[in-house]
This record gives sequence, C-alpha cells and structure tokens, in this order.
Amino acid sequence: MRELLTNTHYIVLTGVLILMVIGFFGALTKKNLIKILISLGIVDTGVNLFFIVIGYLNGKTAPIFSKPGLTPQQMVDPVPQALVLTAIVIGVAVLALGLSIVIRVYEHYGTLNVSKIKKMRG
Amino acid sequence: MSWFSPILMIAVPLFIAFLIPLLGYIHKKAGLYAMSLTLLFNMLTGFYFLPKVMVKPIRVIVAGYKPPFGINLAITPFSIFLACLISTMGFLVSLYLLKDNTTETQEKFAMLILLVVMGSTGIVLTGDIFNMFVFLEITSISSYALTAIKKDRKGSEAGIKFLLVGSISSTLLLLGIALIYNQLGTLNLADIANRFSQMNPKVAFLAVSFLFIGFGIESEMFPLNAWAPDVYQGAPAPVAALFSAVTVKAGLYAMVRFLFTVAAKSVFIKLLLVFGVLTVIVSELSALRQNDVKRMLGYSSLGQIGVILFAVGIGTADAMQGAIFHFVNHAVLKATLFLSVGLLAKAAGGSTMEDLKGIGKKYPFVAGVFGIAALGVMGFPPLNGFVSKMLILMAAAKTEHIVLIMLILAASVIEGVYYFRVLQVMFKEPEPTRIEKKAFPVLSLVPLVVLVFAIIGIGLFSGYLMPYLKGAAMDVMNRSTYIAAMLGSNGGAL
Amino acid sequence: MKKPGLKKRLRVKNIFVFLLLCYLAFQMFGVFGLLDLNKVKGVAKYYLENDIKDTQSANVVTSIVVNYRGFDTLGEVTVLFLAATGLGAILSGRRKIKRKRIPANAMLKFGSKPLLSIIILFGAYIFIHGHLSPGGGFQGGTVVASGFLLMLLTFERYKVEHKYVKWTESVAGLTFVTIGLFGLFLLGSFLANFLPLGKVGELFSSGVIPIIYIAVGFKVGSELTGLLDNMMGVVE
Repeated sequence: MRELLTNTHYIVLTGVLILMVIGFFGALTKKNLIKILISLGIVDTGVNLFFIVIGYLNGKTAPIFSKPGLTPQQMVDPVPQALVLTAIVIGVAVLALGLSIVIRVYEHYGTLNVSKIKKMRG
Repeated sequence: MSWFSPILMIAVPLFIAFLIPLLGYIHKKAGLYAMSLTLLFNMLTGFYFLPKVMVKPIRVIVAGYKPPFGINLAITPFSIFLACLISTMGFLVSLYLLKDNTTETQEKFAMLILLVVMGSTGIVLTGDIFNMFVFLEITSISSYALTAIKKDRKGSEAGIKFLLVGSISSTLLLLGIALIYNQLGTLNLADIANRFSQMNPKVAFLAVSFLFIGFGIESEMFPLNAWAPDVYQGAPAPVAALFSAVTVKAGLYAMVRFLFTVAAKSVFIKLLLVFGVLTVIVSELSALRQNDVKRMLGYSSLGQIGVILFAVGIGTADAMQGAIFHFVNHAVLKATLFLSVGLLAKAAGGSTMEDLKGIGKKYPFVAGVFGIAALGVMGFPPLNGFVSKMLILMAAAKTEHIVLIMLILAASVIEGVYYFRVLQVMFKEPEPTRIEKKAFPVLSLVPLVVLVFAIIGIGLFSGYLMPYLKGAAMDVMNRSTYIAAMLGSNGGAL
Repeated sequence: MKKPGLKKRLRVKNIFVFLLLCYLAFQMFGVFGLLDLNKVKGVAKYYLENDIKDTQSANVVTSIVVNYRGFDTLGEVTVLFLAATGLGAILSGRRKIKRKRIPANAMLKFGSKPLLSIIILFGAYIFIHGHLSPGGGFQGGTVVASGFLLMLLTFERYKVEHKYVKWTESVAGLTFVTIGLFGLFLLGSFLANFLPLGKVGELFSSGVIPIIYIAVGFKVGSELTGLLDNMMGVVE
C-alpha cells in the first residue's frame, strides 16, 4: 500500500480520476451550457493526462535525441505523446464549435439554462 | 497502376475540400459542383475496387511502414461494400443539394458535406483503431456543424445536444484505446485482434465496455440515442438523409468490426441483441405519437437500426448477411423518405402533419415516391425492405429467438400504422389552397428517381447482390482471415 | 427555484451523482492497478530504436506524428479545418454584439506591436525546428495565433484580413495533401518520405517532415487566428 501511494504513476492516476469525477459531475449536474462545456473540457484533460501517464516511465527522459550518447533505452514511450497531441486538437475543435453553437442557442432562447432549452420533445 | 490505390478515396476528397475556399474566386457555385464531382469519383473508384476486393482483400500501406508500425488501410469485402454504399448515397444527396439553397454559406456547406462523406469512408476503410477514432471525430464534428448550419432555433438546439453527447462518446473511445494500447503496445486492428487474449481480462472488459458505449452512441443504440430524433428533426432534410444513410452506417461498421473482428466477445454481441430489440420497440412506440413527419422518420430510422443491431446480435453468418442487406436498404429507403419530405416540406412551409395535409394531390409524383419508400420500410413485397427483413427473421428463426421475432413483427405492425397515417393525411385530405404549385428543380428529382428504381430493383433482383453480401458477411465472421490478410504475407499488398 | 422543496431535491440528486461517480472511479482505480506501466513495448520500442535509421529526425514524437502516423495528423489538420469552417458557417451573418471596452493603455499599445513580430518569430522557430527540438507545427501555430490574440485584445479596431487567412489555410492544407500524393506517385505509398533524409541534427534533414510540419504550422496558426477573429464581438 505504501509503495502504491509513493509511486508516481499512481499519484497521477489518482489525479486523472479526480479530474474525470469533477468533469462528469459538472456535466451531469450543471444547468449552464457553458459550464457543461467547461466540464467536458476537464474530462478531456483527465483523459489526456491518462495518456501521458501510460507513456511515462520513472527516471527516463524525453524521446528526443538532443545530445550524443542518448540511447533509446533511456527514453519514455513516445506514442502516447503523439496521440495526445491529436486528442488535444480534437478537444479544441469540439470546444470551439460548441461555443459557436451556444452563441446561436443564446440568440434564440435568451438563456443558457439547459432545462429551459427544450423546444423539441417527444 | 500502382498509384491508383483505394487511398485516393480519402486523399482526393481532402484535396478538394482544402481547395474549395479558393474555388469560390472562380464561380460562386464552383464549390458545390466540385463536391459533387469528387463524390462521383469516389463512387467510381469504389465500384472499380469492389470485384477485386471480393476476390482478395487489399492492404494499403500508408507512409511506407508495414503494419503494425504504420497506419494501413484494411480493404476487405465488408469495408469496400460499405464504402461503395456510402459514396453512392453521398453522390445522390449531393445532386439534390446542387439546386438547394438551405444556407447562404454554400461553399462551407459543400465542404462539410464532402468531409462528412470522406470521414465515413475513412472509418470503413481504415485498419487502425486510433485512425478510426480520428475519422469518427471528423464525421461527428462535421455532423455537429451541419446540424446547426441553418442557424434556426431547432437546428441550434439539436446541434448542441448532439455535440455534448458526441464529446462524451469520444472521451470514452479515447479511454478504451488508451487501455488497449497500454496492454498490447499496438494500435493496429489486426494486431490487436491477433493478441487480444493476452490482455488482462479485467482491463480488456473495461476497454471493450468503453468502446462499446462509445460506438453505441455513434450507431444510435437505444439507451444512448436520445439525441438522435432531435438531430433528424432539426437538421435540414438532405443532411438528415445523409446522416441516416451515411454516418450511422459508419458507426455501425465500427461497432461490428470491433466486436466481431477485434474483440470477439460473445457477451457484448448478445448485449447487442437485447439493445437492438429494445431500440426497435422504444423507437417505434415513440414514432407513433409524433406530429412532425421529420421527427417521425427519425424515430423510424432508429427502429430500422434496432433491426440491424438485432440481426448483428444473432451472430450467425446468415443473420449477418441479412443485416448487411438491411444496411443497404435502410440507407436507400431513409434517404428517399427524407429527401422527398424535404421537398414537400419546402413547398408546404413546414413538416408537421397539418402542413402536409393533402399535399399528395398537389405533388403526386414526390408524394408517390414517399409512398413507395414508406411501403418499402414497412416491408411490402416485392420492395427491398421485405427481402432483407425476411432474411433476418429467417436467420432468427433458425436460432430460435421466437419471442424476439414476435416483438420485431409487432413493431413492424406499429410501423405500418404510423406510415399509413401519414399517407392518409397526404392523399385523402382535400387539396390545400394556400400553396402555390411550382415545379421542383430537375436536379433535385433525379436522385429520387434513381432511388425509387433502386428500391424496386433491389427488391426484384436481390439475387445479383447476394454474392457480395455473402462475401461481406464471411469477412465479418472469419476474423482469422482478416488478421492473416492484414498481418501475414498472403494479403495483396499494394 | 421559487418552491423551497425543489432546491433540496436537486441537492440530493447531486450528492447521489457524486457518490455514483466516486464509486465508478474507485472501481476504475482497481483496474488501473492491473495496468502495465514499467516498460516501453510494442510499436513504441520499434519507433525508438529505428527512428534515426528511418527518418533521421532527432525528435521521435515528431517522426511519429508526421511520418509513422502521418495519416492521423492529416485527419487532425482536417478536424481543425472543419472546426474553423463550421464555426464560420454557424456564426456568419451574426449581429455582432457591441460592447464598451476600456481602451488599452499606452504601454500595452506601444509594447504589443513589436511583441507581435517576436511572437511570430518564436512560433516560426518552433515549427521550423519541429524535427530537432520539442514542439512542432501544432505548438508553433498556437504560439503564432496567440500573437494575433494579443493584437485583437489590445487594439479595438484590429482586423484580421479574412482573405489572407483563407489563402494561407487552403494553400497549407493543399501542400500537405500534395506531398502525400507525391509519395504515392513516386514511392507507391501515400505520405511516403520521398526526399533525401540527410543527417540527424541538421536543419535540412529528415526529408518531408519539416516541410509538412511548416505547412501544419501555417495552417494551425491561420485557423486559430480565424477562429479567434470570428468569435470577437464588435467594440463600440
């Protein structure tokens, strides 16, 4: 147990879970559309952090051959870093588009409260 | 001809999509025509490769690295069959759009349509799970934008709902992919499939459930499809046609490919059976009490997807064949319904039952097309819906899911009730006087004519389609051939 | 929220949601204990060991992003392009909201103009050296866009020319796809590295990687700038 608590991986994994709980809690309970979008952004951050943790190895360096003598054995896993770049860009794209639709919704309904935005039912 | 590879079905639409903003300087409508031509190119390329792939799957290597080190396209019978379906439907809808002025931002609209079709094609062609995720995101992001593009009240509301649910789906997909990568150190679908049993069973279960929910949202499975009717109602009619004919198919492909080829988890396949039947019942019952025809069609579309999920969940080769046949029929029928309702609603000024009263007498041709497609959905012989439903029910009878068959049949009866109600409103009510009769543009009618011929033709000559369906079904059921073709030396490398 | 009971009920619901999420997180933590976090394996091992041989790029992440998994990056660029297009389509014809703003002070006004060029230079440095040092097209492009954000915030009437943005993003995207098609025609594989690789650590090395990353940098910079400009209101 003690080992588990001092291991860098598990400390960060706890952080991942905390971020995701905060994000999903906000997305499920908040009424304001922008707050919901922010919450989903927090969830995204949690997932991105999870990717990074998966690739991280204790005591190893960034996967860049920046000085002579570095060997591949001294480096962390580069693939999750590449994937997280894609994930971040996608998150930004969704957030931007979401905000633009929210602007339109606000123009039509005059409110950002999700429980008042329900013209379509059934 | 080594350069003429199926990857052009993704590269050329991308090239044109980046070019469209500059084409605006030549002519205002150049973008729309470029989009239509590109989709025609995609369709022809797809049909060029279809017979070749039926003989032997093609593995297209991207960036010169053999899988699993690089990304590769896995062109197997099932995927090329769906790619053909997707690009054909995309092309037909694009013809309809040429004379359509849904929005004043024509060139952006053309780009979005092109990219939604390109994204769906990418999903069905790719052989890499993260690449599939990227294409899924391309498809969803363009779908959000297309839903809200009319900037009206309904479109914006549907768009934001779609976006919120969709981003949860993408989060779950990412988590699932991360777990798989952590266990196996690979992202190639065939490689994952090959070594799936090496994963820790608990982690594997969690990963598959995340991906199941994620793909379930994309393929509009029952508890996860609350957003879908809003989108079908709020989006412009041609866009709704595109959604039910193209994007859902891609989502279903991802689900089927993942559950059958990669994970091969029988628990989740059984789960599909249950959710499929639930989807059918819930959506048909909801469709019954709709007043807006577009929303009703949306629910009906969900019902058909439930039938497909049910057939997939049976898990035998016969049922899979029926399911893939239903993919085609659902795409053709729903596209026809949405396009014809789109035309009628534009003439009538709305898509509720009151708006469409007696419209059949004013526009007998378009309303007649709607009627034929409605009969097809209900499964009247000799139309195409009948053949595929028959195949599915026979396969279900073989595996003795009698109760479920009864439920599906009951749902079909409900379907009959509400479609006949619409037809009655359209044809029996007196002709409305408030609507000025004006002719529809010919280019909008061409796709409808083609689709009606397809509805009748597929129903009468379904025998010609069977070898392709069989090949596609075999491709899904035999995961070892997929793995061997993609990883081993016996795949035709291009 | 007039009725007193409603607020209470909402709170009960919130607590319930919170407990449920905590339970799920706890379960997930149990699964996290089973993860394999101790070694580099699978494709990553191959990338680390063969990166120099295959691409001559010092930054392994860059060679994965642009070369090994370059097809993903093309999709990624498309996603950003889509967001910019969709946002433009949805917000076009919007009545821009006019609002009053306290004008920026003299320090800010005098400072930000020279800063803009420095920021752009810095962004360009990041994306030109993407194959040698940390960073790359996406990061550099974001830095460039932040420079324009500074201008938009400082000067009330600052306008980004939409024509330039449009041309930059189109031409950059076309460059990316064209390089991919050249690979297809010359080497038979889309996005294949058809230029000489050079020597690791030099600016002109690793074939098409820097060219693609520079195109990505231009594209990301112009798209994010366009996004920001589209979202700005009109200042009275």
